[in-house]
Order: sequence, then C-alpha cells, then structure tokens
Amino acid sequence: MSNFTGITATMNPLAEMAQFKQNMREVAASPEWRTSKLIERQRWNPYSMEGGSTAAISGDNFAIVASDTRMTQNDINILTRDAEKIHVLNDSIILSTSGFYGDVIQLRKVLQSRLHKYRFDYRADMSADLCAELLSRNLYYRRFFPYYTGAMLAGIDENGKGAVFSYDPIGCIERLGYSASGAAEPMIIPFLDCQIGHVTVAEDYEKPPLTIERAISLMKDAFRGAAEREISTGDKIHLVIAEAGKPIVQKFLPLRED
Amino acid sequence: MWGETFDDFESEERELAVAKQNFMHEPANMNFTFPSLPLGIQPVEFMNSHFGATAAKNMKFRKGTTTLAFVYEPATPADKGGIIVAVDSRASSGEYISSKSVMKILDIGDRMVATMAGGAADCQYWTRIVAKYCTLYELREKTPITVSAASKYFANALFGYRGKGLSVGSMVAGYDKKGPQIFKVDSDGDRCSLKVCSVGSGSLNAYGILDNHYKPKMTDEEARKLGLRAIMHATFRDSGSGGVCNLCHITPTEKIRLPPMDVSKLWYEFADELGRDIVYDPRE
Repeated sequence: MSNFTGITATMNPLAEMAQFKQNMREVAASPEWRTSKLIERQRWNPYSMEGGSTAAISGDNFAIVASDTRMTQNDINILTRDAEKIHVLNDSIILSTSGFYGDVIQLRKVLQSRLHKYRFDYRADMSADLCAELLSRNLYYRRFFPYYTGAMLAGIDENGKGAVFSYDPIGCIERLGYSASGAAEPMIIPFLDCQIGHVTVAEDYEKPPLTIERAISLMKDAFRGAAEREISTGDKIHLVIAEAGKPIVQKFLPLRED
Repeated sequence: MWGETFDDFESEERELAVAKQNFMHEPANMNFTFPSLPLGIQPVEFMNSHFGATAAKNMKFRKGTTTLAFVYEPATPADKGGIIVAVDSRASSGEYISSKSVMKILDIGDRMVATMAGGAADCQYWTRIVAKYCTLYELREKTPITVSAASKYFANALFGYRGKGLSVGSMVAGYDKKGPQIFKVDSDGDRCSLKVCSVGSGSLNAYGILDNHYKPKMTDEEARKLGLRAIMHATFRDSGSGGVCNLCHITPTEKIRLPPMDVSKLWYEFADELGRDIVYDPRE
C-alpha cells in the first residue's frame, strides 16, 4: 500500500478490516515478543527448588549423614537458616533430602505412616534395607508426577553394618559406600571419591581406614568446601551419627552464613 | 457355609480352600494406577521441562548404557556354552556421572536375567514386577517360566504405558526347556528373539566388535573375552558408557557372575594382547 494517500482506499475496507482482525487474532495467540523464557515461566510449574545439599557416609558399624540447614528460593532468596533436611525415621533409619520441601514433607509423611503401620503389624521396627526398597517404590509410584526430591536413606542394616542408599527423583536405587545429593553434589562427590573411594591415588598408596572420627571430619571438610563455592549451601551443618547399638546422635556445627 | 459341620469340612481343608482363594488364582493385572498430572497437562512435556535437558542438574533421571548378550554353543566338550551377558556400569544424569558402579544385570528368578538400558528407575521397577510375576507363575504352575513367556509379560506391561514417556530397553536372557534364549524388549512394546543383541547408547560400537568376532561355536574363554572386548570398545567410544564391565555367564546348569572388571584396565590388557595401541595414531 505504498500509494495510499488517506483519501482513496485502494482496498475494499471490509476486506481490510477482516484482514486486520485476523492478524490481531494471530498475534494475540502467539505474540512475537513472548520470548521462550516467558513461555517457560507461564507453563504450569508445581515445583520449586529449595536448594541445599546432603551427604552420607557409611562404614563398618556406622553411618553418618550431614546436610546444610539453609533453605533458599530460586538459589538467591534465603527463606530460613535452620531448615530441617534430615529426618530421623526410627532408631536405625535416617532420611536425608534435597529439592522441593513440599514434596519432602509429603514423602516423609508417607514413609512415617508406613513405618508406623509396619510397627503395628509386626511389632518391630522396620530395618533400613526394607525401608530403602519401600522408598524406592514410593518414589516410582509417582512416576508421572514425580516428587521433586533428591533423596538418600542411611542407617544401620540388619547385619549391623552401615548402609547408604542413593536415589534419583523416580526411585532408581543403589546401595553405596558414600553418596551426596543436592546442589553441591558435583563438588562433594569428587572429594569423597578422592578421600574414601581412593580413586585418584596409586595402588600402592597407603589408604587410611575409614573410622567414624575420620568420616565425621571428612564430612565437615566436604561441607565447608561446598559452602565456600556454592550459593545455596551454608549456615549450619546438621550432622546425624548412627552407630550400631548406640542411640542416634545429632549435632549442629556452624558454617559460613554468606 | 450354613448347614455344614466340622465333620464335613476338616479345618485343614478349609484353610487350604481359603489359601487357594487368596493366592492360587491368576494374579490380577496390576490394579494399581499411578497418580497422574491434572487434566490438560501433557505428561511427556511436563517431565521434559522439569526433569529433562533443561532441568536442574541433579534432578535429571539416571540413564545411559551399553548392554549386550549373545548365545553361543560350546566349541569343545570341555566348555559349557550358553549365554554371555555383559554390561557397563555408568549412570549419568545429563553430563554428570551420578554413579559408576550400577549393577545393570538384574535377576529374574534363578535362571534368567534382565539387562537394564534407558531410564534406570523404569528398568529396576518393571524388572521387579516381572520377577514377581515369574515367582508367582512358578508357584502356581509348579514349573519354571520360559524366557519367552516372561519377556512377553514384560512387553505387555510396557505396552500398557506406551507413549507415557517410559524409557526401557531390556534384554531378557536365560535358559529354559527350549534352550538358551534372548529376548529384546523395549518401552515401545517391541519384543524380538535374537542370538546376538546389544542395546543402549554404545550399542553400535558393541555391535561392531560382536559382528566382527562372533562365532556360533566358541570356547568359554573366547566368549567371555568377546563380551568384555565389545563392552570395552563401546565404553571407549561412547561417553554415555563407562565404569566397570559386569559379566554374567548363563550355562545350561548355572548362572555365573564374574567379578567386575575396570574398563580402563581392560583397555591396556587388550592393547598388550595385540602388541600395539588399540586406536591408531592419525599422525603416523
């Protein structure tokens, strides 16, 4: 319409109006200024990521679990400095979680009620091995609407040995010697691989045995290291120590608060 | 029950009848339904946006694999023959290796195994369901289930969830009354019987070695080495595979699990055997 003067309409005005309306409809349906980020944001999102990290180490007759106590929103806004991410389910089972706290609470509730029912039915506490399988299944039952959690289960198994079970959000289970989950997982695991797994040292290198004292000090080191370099980890270490034949001990240790 | 006395119906018999009622009927096809998303939300798209490529690093599902299995006949009377199942042990979530020691050969009964490729949780869960079915079948029919029947149950279970985003590529391998058998089952509902089979991201590399060196008749030593070699080469060229090589040898009489072998050690072993580096140096 280069020769449009404002006086002589070169097109049928009715057709022009119809065209205009059509264009308006199209642009309203998918505006060009809607970036992919905006589209992403408007999508239904029932989850939120509350950060934090947890790690667990098992030894011959003990299992220790640690997590930080910071809860953040979108990795930036600190919601609380003493969130509880480690849940002691009974005398030998400890659940530690990272991810969406709403799902964590729901998951804990499911496990606690199943443990309660087990106690009622069998007049004994559930063992860590059984609870590990139970957790795996309960995570998988939500296959099409998963719990947004990186869960870990630690404790003393039926034979009095330390056990750590690691999961993905939909319940892929694996029993490991040590494990971590959450935001600082990629920082903690290499450290533990080096110190406990001894994957980086030569074969004839003298490997120190994993005692409970050493495990605790390694755990502190891992979290102090992570807090230095990871924004959603900090404030306090929540340390839970389960030793065969002894009651579970819980400790809080200070960590960087920035 | 009215009009009956204890004399008509011994209490033991009655207990048996009740037990039969409870346990001996054909198990109902799993009546459990998975909780699903609210109406209008596409499950596959939802899962991709929260647990897929754009998800937070540690929220991705574990996957990635090379698995292989083949049937062979003994070359000499001293050998046992049977099936070799070999797998790697890496589970990666995105670029992060979330585990390097996964056991990807899962037991189904005494004489059968299933390998796991694709989504790790999917494989573990559904293999459990199949194993349960096989145990119940054996108790009910008083005869071990055939590999073909077990794999068909597996395929049917997966077919029920077709298009929902499951990711399973499994090989059900074992010995039954029909001899050694391998069935490849996947989450699209595909199921086929094969003699030489490989599944997973490194399967192409494994096939290269398998097709080159496989013979229908081999000694046990040769066969085990072929499995290890194929896995080693697959882990060498495929970044989704690695860790150790787990090997399972199913003979007509037993199931032998070999100790895990570190693939980076295997590499040097095979290089020594050939008397040269396995890969050529392009500058030479």
